[in-house]
Amino acid sequence: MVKPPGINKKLMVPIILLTIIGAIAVFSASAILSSELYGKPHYFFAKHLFYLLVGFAIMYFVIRSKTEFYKAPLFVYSLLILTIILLFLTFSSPIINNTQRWIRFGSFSFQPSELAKLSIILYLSYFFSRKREQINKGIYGIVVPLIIVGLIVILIIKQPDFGTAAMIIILSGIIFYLGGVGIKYLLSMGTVFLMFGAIALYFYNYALKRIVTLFDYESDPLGRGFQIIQSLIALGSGGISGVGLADSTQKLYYLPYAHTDFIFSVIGEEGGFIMTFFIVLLFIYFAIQGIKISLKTKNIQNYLIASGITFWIVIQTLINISVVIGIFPPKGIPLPFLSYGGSSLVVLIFAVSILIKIGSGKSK
Amino acid sequence: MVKTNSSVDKNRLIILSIAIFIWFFVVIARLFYVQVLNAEKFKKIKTRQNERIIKITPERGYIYDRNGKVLALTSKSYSIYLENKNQRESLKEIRQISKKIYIQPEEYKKILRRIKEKRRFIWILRKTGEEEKEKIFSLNLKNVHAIKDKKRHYPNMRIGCHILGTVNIDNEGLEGIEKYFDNYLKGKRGEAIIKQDARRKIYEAKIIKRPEKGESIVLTIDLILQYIAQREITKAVIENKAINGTIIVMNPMTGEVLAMASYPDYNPNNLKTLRRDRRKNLAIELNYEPGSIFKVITASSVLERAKLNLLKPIYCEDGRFNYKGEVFTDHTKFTYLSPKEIISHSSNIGTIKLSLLLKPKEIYRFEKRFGIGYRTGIELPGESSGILAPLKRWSGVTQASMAIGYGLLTTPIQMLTALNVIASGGYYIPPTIVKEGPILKKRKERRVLSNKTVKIMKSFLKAVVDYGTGKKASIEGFTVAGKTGTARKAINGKYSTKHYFSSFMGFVPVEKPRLSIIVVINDPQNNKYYGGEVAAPVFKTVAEESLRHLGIFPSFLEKNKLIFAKAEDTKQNGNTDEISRVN
Repeated sequence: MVKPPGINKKLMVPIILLTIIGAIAVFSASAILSSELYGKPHYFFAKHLFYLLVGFAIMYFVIRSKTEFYKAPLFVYSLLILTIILLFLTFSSPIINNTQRWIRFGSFSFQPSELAKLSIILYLSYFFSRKREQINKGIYGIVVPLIIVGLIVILIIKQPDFGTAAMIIILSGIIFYLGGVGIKYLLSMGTVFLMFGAIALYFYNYALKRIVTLFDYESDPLGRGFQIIQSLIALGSGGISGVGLADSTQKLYYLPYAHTDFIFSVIGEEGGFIMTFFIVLLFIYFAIQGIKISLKTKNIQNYLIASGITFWIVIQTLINISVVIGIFPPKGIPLPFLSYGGSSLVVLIFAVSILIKIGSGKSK
Repeated sequence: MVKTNSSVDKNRLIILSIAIFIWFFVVIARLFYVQVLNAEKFKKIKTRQNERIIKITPERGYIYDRNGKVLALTSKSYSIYLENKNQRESLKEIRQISKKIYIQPEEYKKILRRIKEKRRFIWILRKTGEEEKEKIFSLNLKNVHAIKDKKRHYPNMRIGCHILGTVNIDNEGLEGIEKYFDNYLKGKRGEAIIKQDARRKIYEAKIIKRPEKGESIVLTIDLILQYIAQREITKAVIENKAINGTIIVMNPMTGEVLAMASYPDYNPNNLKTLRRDRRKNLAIELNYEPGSIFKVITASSVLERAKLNLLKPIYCEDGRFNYKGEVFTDHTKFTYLSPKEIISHSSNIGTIKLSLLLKPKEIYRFEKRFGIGYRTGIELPGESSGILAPLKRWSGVTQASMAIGYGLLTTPIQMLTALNVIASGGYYIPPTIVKEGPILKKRKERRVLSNKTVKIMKSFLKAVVDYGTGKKASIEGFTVAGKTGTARKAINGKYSTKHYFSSFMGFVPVEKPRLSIIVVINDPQNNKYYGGEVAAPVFKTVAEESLRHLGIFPSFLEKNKLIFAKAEDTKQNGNTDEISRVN
């Protein structure tokens, strides 16, 4: 890839390392499942590589583009409306595992809820930088973004996909917070969301079970706690140096989502603490670089977009790893850059390229 | 405070960042705890979860008859199962299989039910042959797999079923020799460590102990004689509309069982035929009042102990004898009979009178020496001991009833072993069914009767067949000795006049016995019930055919040198040996 001058290399390094590790891990974790389902070991791996290619192609165009399109109201609103339309379209899609999360295009499928994360960040950043006077009008000033966030969250909960919905609430809360909304409003909004969440959980009790699992998983090893125990067995048995690449045995159906949500367990089993520690360090490095970009930028919209994207990636990483190491309830959230999953990968690389563009100092 | 153009407070970013780094720290600490501090614990859990030690079943030893013919063998077989991942696929595949091979309707229903119950592992066919397996595998179904297995096979089907017994689906002996010598036949199990994935599919296996093949056993049974005996007892039970029946063929000189059959029987290849009423080996398990055949023991004891004038007739009370308040009768009104006639005509009253010549203590001692009330110790499971009440429990009429075979329980094998005392020249020889194999018990012979008694008893028993109650047991060209028995069955504490145990036991030839046979038919209901009519003809057929098979020729042939010489030329070495020993 031809890299334009002035690109923020400090951010590129962890991303490239993580995607390489991710691709290898996806191959190792999915080969057996892929052979069984499709008769060839590289089915998932090939798709993963294709999405990586698409992602980096998008990155190339984002960084090369002369405009800061992600700040333009036309782009922000178009993306937001597209997201909402796509989210509505999911309800006409076939039901897979009791959920409707995907829109199919031929043999490829797209998960609009992944796009929703970026849309929300761009929209809220736009709102809180261009309409700053609204903040001082109290709760009435921020009613429009609240309604938009609420609509998207409801659409995602309907799928149902609590993990992503929770992620969007957290991200929105962060931008509300960084955007300068008063603490008392944030607290009251938090309370409303909590109540809202409690009601939603009541109606979709599978999510409730997942939360109960966190506190009680060892008492029920074959039920809901199974995933967490298997994940801990994978990580623990990897020890310091791991069992060796491709030699994980936990991926032999003991881990239910070995190449997606639980990829970190497989990496931990095959690469040991050395590898898991290295990956966490890469994310810490990424977090530091992201925060640095945010602190340096002088434009409020850039500041909000940069911190939004940084915290999105970092928090999603932390939640995924926390689930895998058994300190957080199972959520169904992929590990950025490492998990298999096309929509997530493409949208994340798109997002990170915006971050790089902001960090490259081309935007003022 | 870091401020941008107007009102954004970047300290909020600092606060969030600190929270994030604390979270990162917690994650690292936890990873260290799980992967470094507790690695051993989780490795152990993984081993426990993935690894399993499995036993490898060794090949079971074979069972042969005395001539090396295979009675039970172990063959390679396949157990075929369905991996039920997807209901629709599974149903489609099982439908395809059912078109290719026959599956019993109830089995088929069971499989369909299990598919719907979403069981992952479903047996389709257990222990089937190479041919069936190939048929199924030619369909190329992706969820159907086979496990190599070992199947016990009994090539002669029902022949010898009660002796051999059978094995369950795990190749454990259930009945007969299979059960009695299970430890010996089954060999030593091997062990292997297997590693399984979460769907219990094996991805690695290592043998840590090789299985050792079980040892084989050679029985004293002669397959041809067994076939003859089993065919005839089956025929007799069915023709006489009896409940069941049993037959034993022995070599009285060695105590070897040559054939032992009962009917109803079962097919040891098909466990479903192993029903309760069919599995019983009546030859050793049937406890019954023997009736008149027991007179052999009474008469022998009296001849051995009492000074008896064989020419002096005994008064038989004209068919009705009141002894201590108990009335005994005969089937015919006899007046005076010699001791020989008492046995040949089977007079109850005469036998009782003979018995009363001895003290109860003496009779009791002889009964025990003949093995009554004790297991013979034959190498088969489930043998009954019969019941012989101890002397102190005898009432006034016990000796009289026992003399004619009532008031005690015996088994067919006990009775034939007792008869063999006479056939063998006075020795009690414990019966055996194993020719080569594990030596479990030393069979100890004991002398019971003197040569003189044996000689007299042989003439008595020959008279039974020559002109007494057992005429239908006579075989042209051979001298036959035997005794009939028609014992009333005790039903609800009363002796029935409609239900009998009809039996016959005898040996042939009298001078140098080669075969001794007992036949017991339980409750014949086809107008005939006398032992002489129901059981004696079975003896005759079995003995005659068996003698022919063994190459033992009638005495008139032996005298004809020409025929004998000719036979010698055509027969093989082993058989000429048999012929020359006949004289």
